[in-house]
Amino acid sequence: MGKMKKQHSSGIATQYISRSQAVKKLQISLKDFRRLCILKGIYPNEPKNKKKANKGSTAVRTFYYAKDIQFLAHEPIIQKFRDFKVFMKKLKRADVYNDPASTARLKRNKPVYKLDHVVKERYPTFADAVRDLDDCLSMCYLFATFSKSKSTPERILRLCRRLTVEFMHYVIAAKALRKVFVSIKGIYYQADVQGQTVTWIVPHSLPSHQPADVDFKVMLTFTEFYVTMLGFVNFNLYTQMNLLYPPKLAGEDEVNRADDRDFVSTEENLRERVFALNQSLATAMSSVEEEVQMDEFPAATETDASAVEKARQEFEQNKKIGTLFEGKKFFLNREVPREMMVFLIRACGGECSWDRTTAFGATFDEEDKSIAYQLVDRPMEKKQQVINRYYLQPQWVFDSINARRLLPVEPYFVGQKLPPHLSPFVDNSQYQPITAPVILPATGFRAPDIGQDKDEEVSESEDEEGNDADSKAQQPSRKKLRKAVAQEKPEMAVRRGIAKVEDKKKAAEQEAAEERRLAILTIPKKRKRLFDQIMYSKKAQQKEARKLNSKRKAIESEVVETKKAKV
Amino acid sequence: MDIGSATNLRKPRLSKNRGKKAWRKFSNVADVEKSMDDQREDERLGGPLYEKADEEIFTVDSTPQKLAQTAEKKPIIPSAVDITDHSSVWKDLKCYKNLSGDRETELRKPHLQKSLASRSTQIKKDIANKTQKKSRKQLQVPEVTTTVPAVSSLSVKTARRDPFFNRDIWATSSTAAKPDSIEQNQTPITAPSRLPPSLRKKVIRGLPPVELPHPGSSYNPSTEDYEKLVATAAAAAARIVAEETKLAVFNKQVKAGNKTAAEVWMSEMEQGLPGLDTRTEEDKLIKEEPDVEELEEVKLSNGGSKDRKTGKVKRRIEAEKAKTKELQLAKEKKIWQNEVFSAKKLLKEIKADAVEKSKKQLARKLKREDPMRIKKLGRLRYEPETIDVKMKDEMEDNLRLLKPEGSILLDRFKSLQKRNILEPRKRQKNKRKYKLKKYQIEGRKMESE
Repeated sequence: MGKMKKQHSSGIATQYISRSQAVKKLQISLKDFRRLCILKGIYPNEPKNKKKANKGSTAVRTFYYAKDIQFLAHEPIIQKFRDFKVFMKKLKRADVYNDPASTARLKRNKPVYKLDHVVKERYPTFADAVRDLDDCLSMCYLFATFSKSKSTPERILRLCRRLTVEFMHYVIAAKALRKVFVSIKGIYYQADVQGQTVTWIVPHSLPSHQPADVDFKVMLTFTEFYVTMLGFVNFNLYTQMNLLYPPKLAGEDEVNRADDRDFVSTEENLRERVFALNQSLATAMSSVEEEVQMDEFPAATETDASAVEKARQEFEQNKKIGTLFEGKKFFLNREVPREMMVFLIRACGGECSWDRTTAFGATFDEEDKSIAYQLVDRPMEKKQQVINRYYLQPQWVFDSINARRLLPVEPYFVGQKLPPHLSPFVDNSQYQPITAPVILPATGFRAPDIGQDKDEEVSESEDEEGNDADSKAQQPSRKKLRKAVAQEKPEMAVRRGIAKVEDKKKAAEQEAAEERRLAILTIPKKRKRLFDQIMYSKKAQQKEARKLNSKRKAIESEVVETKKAKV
Repeated sequence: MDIGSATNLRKPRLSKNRGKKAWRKFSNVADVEKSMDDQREDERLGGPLYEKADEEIFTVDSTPQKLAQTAEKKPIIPSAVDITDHSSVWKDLKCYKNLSGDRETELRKPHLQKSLASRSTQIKKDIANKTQKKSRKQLQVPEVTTTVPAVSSLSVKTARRDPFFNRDIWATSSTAAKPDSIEQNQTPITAPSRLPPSLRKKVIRGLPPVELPHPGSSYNPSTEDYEKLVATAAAAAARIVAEETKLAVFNKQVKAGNKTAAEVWMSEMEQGLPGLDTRTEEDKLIKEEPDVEELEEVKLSNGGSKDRKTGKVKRRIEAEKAKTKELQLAKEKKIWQNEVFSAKKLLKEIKADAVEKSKKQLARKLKREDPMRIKKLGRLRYEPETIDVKMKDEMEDNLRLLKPEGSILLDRFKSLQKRNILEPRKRQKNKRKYKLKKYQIEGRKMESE
């Protein structure tokens, strides 16, 4: 018999390590440990058996894989953290001793760490990095909206702004945008970057409060890493698109407006016009653009063939988005969110401009006669409008992109009640929003048919005919019954009684309703208000829906009748 | 040794019982040691210098002279010896001028009299100068680095390069640029370790990083979608309300049952006091009824007699005992016989049990390995964020009037927690270890005090 094994010397007990143990092992502070874990992509883990991992104790702890921590121990950034600690000590000392010379010297030699190698390590290939771009973009866009403060260093904020703008330039150049959705929280975009679907969320360009229960430092550390990652991703995307990096505007001299230059330095002017997103970027080498063709795949089986066909359709549709607004000129009014609209319009091949006094980068004036659409988001009188252009609300742009075709403009005119902005992210196989014909006030316009109406009408008329047939079929049977009843003579007899069938379902429903009523009674006053509000709005909606439905039915029946009359 | 010089000196006194080594005290050995040192040095350098050729000692400086360094200013170190003429220094001092009488009326800087326009042009010029300097500096950096074999990519050929993002880090090693100074500085001291298994294995995709929005959360939703969203939000709110009411009821019960510490203490202290009988009525009744059996026993022990068992009775009792035993055995036999015969059934049961167990195990395993599962990583459990809904009366189908609902920062934070990247934590309050001292400065006392 061999020597008896000591408890907790193998298995789960050695696979995991608690956070405090890890901190002790790495000899850094908890703050630095958190930072390091985020930068290196090491996350805590839940052991299969907590008691075993905890070496018999049942105390609640956060566990990490021991091998992960071993891996962290090799990270050169740790040394930089330690250096920084020493640097801070020295700086403090120099400050206290009022020694400006050494303070300056120390500040010159402030330890900095780079994250290039971590990016490479976490994403071994460029495709990996692109696949993980969702988080990165969302965070960078978010931080780009923050203002500088004690907790948010200016460098990160500036980088976030610059890199997100650069990414948008890439999406414009590559015509990679696929979907857009304006929600109450923010704007969701979806793009096709190098064959990967990337979704990100951008906050509305309005100030928003910062929630108290978010650890801002943690988020900042994430952003620190993401900024580095996005920079290198942008570099690669630009070089693969044959664009100069850092971005440079194409046709610099032609559009370089003298009036902008008076107020700012040339460098600022350049930067602002890059940030305006309104001009295309300079390419590194002049090259003839090739028409992108889809590869031919011989399909082996029938299912393959259908898949190939589907892919082809998808490809064609995607190509359409890139040229959706080709040759169209847009003018943005002051109240329209500029950056978002410029991004969307330019990503679909359109041109746009705005009032020169509002922002940099305007390319043409409002008086330009070739403007096809003017985007307006406030009431506007007919008198102010120019005849040969459409004055539309911005939603037309989103809906057109999601529909992948230019939607009829009538429902989106200024002052019209807009049709709902539907989400493009719902699965079409399960969810099909009814594209109900828009009922317009009497302006003489009629919304163009969206393809379904005729079919619907036909099917509905068929249904009604069917109903008629049913009723006809039922009528004689009823008559027969009546006859039978009349023929039967009343007899005096004792018959077996029929047991009263208790409707279990109904009873259960009643009980549930009773319970619900009781539950509502128990809601405290504070919550009751909210509950009442919700219920009120729900009822109002239901009422409205009922009203609209009945209206629709009436109109449809009218249509059917007129048709019949015509026939 | 020079004896003559030694004789000139006055001979020091010698003590009679001096040691062997004291001879050094009275003889001059310095010059001997010096010559020995010279000799040794010559030996070390390979022979005396005067014997060597010039080529052996000197080398020709082939590096070009650095002109730039001569321009560098050397720090002026005040020397203590050099006292030539200080008049040039102190003659310019204002105080001396005042003394000597040749005062000059200094013109005040007319910065306030300058026109606004001229000032603005000056500021603009300054800014332009600064930016130019900066841009020149930025340009200079890549020029230096161009000596290093550059990346094969096209964009790098231009002079304008980003200071940070200027290379393809995913390029193969042959085309990748050389690491810069910071990176070299950052190379690990320890041997580079392999990626740990948690990073090496393929990531199983759980929840998406950016969850797709509910169609009802559109700024201008269709009524159907909006109703669905409101229904889910209402359900979530109702769940919270139900939980809270449950807790409130429980808390009330607990509170009712709880006595205060003072009450408990009082009742404990009152135990056994004559005036206060804390016992309940039932207790009293029980205590007052005397136990009948007890009384009997007492009687017996007091010498009361009881009849002895006769042989007949004994035999009868014995027979009864035997009978019951027999019956018991028969019963047991029946039971185990039954068990034997029901083996088939038992086996079936065991099998069913095993199947059930394995099923449960599988379910548990699936649940544990579900990539969507939110793990409990720390002390706290993940708390889902509330669903953002706009009330009907707040809704605007106008982008200009839209007031955003919810926070993206919170959304991102919760998303990270949901994906088991961050553990849910509670914000810790900063606790002061010691009480702050209060000082009252005499002159600044408030009037009310």
